[in-house]
Amino acid sequence: MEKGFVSLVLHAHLPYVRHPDFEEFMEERWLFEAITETYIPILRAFQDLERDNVPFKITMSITPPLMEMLDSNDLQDKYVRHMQKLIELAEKEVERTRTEHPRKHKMAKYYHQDFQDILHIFETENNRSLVKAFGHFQEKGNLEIITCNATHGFLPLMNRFPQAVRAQVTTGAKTYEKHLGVAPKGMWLAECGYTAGLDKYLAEENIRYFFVDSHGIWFAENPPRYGVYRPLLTENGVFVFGRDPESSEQVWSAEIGYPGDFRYREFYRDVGFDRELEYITPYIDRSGVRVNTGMKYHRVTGKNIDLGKKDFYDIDEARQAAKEHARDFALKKQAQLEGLHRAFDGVVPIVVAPFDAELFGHWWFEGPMFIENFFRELHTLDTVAPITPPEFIEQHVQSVQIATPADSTWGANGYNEVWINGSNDWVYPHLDELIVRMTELVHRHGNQNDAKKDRLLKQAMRELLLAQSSDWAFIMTTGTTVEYASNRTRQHVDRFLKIARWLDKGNMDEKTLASWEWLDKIFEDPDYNLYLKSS
Amino acid sequence: MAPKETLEQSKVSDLKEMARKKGIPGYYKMRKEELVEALDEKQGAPFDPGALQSFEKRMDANPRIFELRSMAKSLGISFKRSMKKKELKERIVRTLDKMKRVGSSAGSLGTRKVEKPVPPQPPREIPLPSSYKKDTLVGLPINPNWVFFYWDFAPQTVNLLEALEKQDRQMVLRVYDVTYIIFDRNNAHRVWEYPVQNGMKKFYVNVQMPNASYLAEIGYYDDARQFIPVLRSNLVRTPPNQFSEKKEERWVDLNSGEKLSLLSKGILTNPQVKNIGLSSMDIEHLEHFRQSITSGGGSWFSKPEKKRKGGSD
Repeated sequence: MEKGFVSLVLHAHLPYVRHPDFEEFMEERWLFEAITETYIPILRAFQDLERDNVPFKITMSITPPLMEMLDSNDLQDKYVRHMQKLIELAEKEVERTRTEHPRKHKMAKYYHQDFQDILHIFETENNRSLVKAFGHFQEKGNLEIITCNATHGFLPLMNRFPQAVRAQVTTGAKTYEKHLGVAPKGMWLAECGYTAGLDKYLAEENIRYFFVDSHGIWFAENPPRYGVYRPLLTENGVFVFGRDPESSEQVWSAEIGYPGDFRYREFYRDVGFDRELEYITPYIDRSGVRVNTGMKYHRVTGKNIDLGKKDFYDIDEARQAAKEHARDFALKKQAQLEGLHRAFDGVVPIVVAPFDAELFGHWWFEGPMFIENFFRELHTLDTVAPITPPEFIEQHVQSVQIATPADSTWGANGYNEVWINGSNDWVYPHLDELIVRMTELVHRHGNQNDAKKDRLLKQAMRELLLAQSSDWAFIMTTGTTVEYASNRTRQHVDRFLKIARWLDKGNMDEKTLASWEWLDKIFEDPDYNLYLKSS
Repeated sequence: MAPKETLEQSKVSDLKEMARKKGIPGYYKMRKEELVEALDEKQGAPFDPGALQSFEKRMDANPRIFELRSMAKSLGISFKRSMKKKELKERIVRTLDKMKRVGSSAGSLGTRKVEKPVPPQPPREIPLPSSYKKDTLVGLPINPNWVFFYWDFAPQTVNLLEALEKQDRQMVLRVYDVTYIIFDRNNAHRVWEYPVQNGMKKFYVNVQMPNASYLAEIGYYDDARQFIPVLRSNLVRTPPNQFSEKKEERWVDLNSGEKLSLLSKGILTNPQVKNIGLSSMDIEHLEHFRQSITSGGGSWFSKPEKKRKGGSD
């Protein structure tokens, strides 16, 4: 008899980074690395579980920009080329490590095989379509794919403009439908950013549930009797699940988190940085800037150990560690859920554990093995089982508490400061002005059976949505690749303003418009009428 | 960035951490003086496109070791006689690359020392309007205790404000706590005022009360010491940071649709509120994560700016 359920939620997202006008572009590697290190290894874990008849249930948000990128032919081509080069490097590494160290050599051979397998999974097994590959597991009932607001725009700072929030939410739902053929049941709000009233827009799109961080539930307008371990129902009839802080800490804490185990792979030692420049040049960025290749030979080794003194990695030891940690996590969930079940007098609790998907595999190399083993371990336990949020609602929610969650995000300190501070506050006057102008433009020029105006309005909408990606403000806060993020914001705002001028003046530069349609090609048919309704 | 003397006084472990964050290849095997030099070098030499080109040409011509040494010398790269050709080459390439980037992204390494005048570079940054020439005053919540305001003026307002300035009238940002009231301009719970200097376009206000509503006005005082508002903001609500004090639970039965209200006994799980919103990664992790996911971006890596609160710029 199950006394409680676990819902693992992976948020897979990358900003729309696609530069078809360049043969190679450094930031496009974000996607390639995520495919190689996270998305395909997770798929492979699902395949292994499926083969072994292990019942698993997992929820994944695949955000609209990520779906659009995974579906882009030019990025798919580039990914294949990227992998071919990586395989070539691995081949060289196999030779080179032969005389260096047996464990290095073992890993080089592993990478050589693994990269080929990954390319095979991408090209041959799935015909390059990873969205469909994940869709398969949704159809089988193991995976619940949810969407996200259109470009991962940060809604709490957009809330003054219902039309802008609606454009984000509805476009997110529509994009999901375009790629998966069905409507989404759930939505991940970018950055888990909730502010009172957002549930209304979700309800309009028949989104049945979303997530907030723990304090979004704890500080809800009415005290939530069961804390984060039962969903609440918002005023507009949408279910909301809260993040379990214990699960996050067990996986993530710098002190006690699993990824810090000494047997796991060390992220910061990569042949892209370790090999001499002449040798590695063909495999790093064309500008000669060193980048991670994904080939790494060292393990964490110990706390506060100098990177130069790291020991060699052994994947079999690491696999063992991932198994132990998966067992430990499953037992902890069991104890936690049994305790909650007692405390709740038999009311069934759910532990919701959301993570950035890219944590698993990219940052924590063994993460996908951990996930796979976690489901295997859960399968051996009688009192706990995995579940998706809609299944939990259907099977275990008879009566539900109504409450408005508190404004909250999952960013550092829990509110908006990651996305609005001295490093990035300059973007908001522009983003707000663009919303106002977009609305005016649609009123003035929309729906006039004028194909040119339609094209311009659609492209203006794309530029606005792209400018709104929370990623740019986030990057400015963290200080990495700030120039890229700042330029992306500027570029989209600039293009929008030019399009707005063309619309109002009744002229346009056809060639330039066509090039922007090609470059910023997100969302095939964005519905600009969403900006008409201002309540 | 730290000047060389400061670097020289730093501990090796600190230098290594700095070098790691800057993405300096092979830093973990460097000795102290190499680290100091590599970090100092990261400050970049003054940019001279002509010289850069000639250096690049010489590098392409597969220079011999003594040529490399002389190039290194003129680039101000310190090196050891024992240094291998490969290593020296790498160091020069790195410096040239750095020079290129310093030169091409004018100002992005704000604190670098410039000894020689730098030839003006066309800005690569796409310029955006500095004003949309509309009367705007917007408040955005940051967290339970801080609100951000930004503003912009229409041309006629600019004229008005300029006229006022000539009369030595100080422009003022007024912030009202209007929680749970219908504001009539005289009934705010609390009012704060901040002088608005010419050219200021934003301000962070420490409002102190979570879960409260605020409004702001920009205006000035007339001769009768009466505050005359020129612009008013939207209503901003700060998020709560503690448990609700309400004693009511509202429930609905999903089958019957029946609703009922119960007395709340608080939260059964008695949550330990710590690390609120510690995202799936804390900020330090996030930095590393993004650094890693952006790979080569490491050399552009810098500490996130501390929140600049209660001030303006």
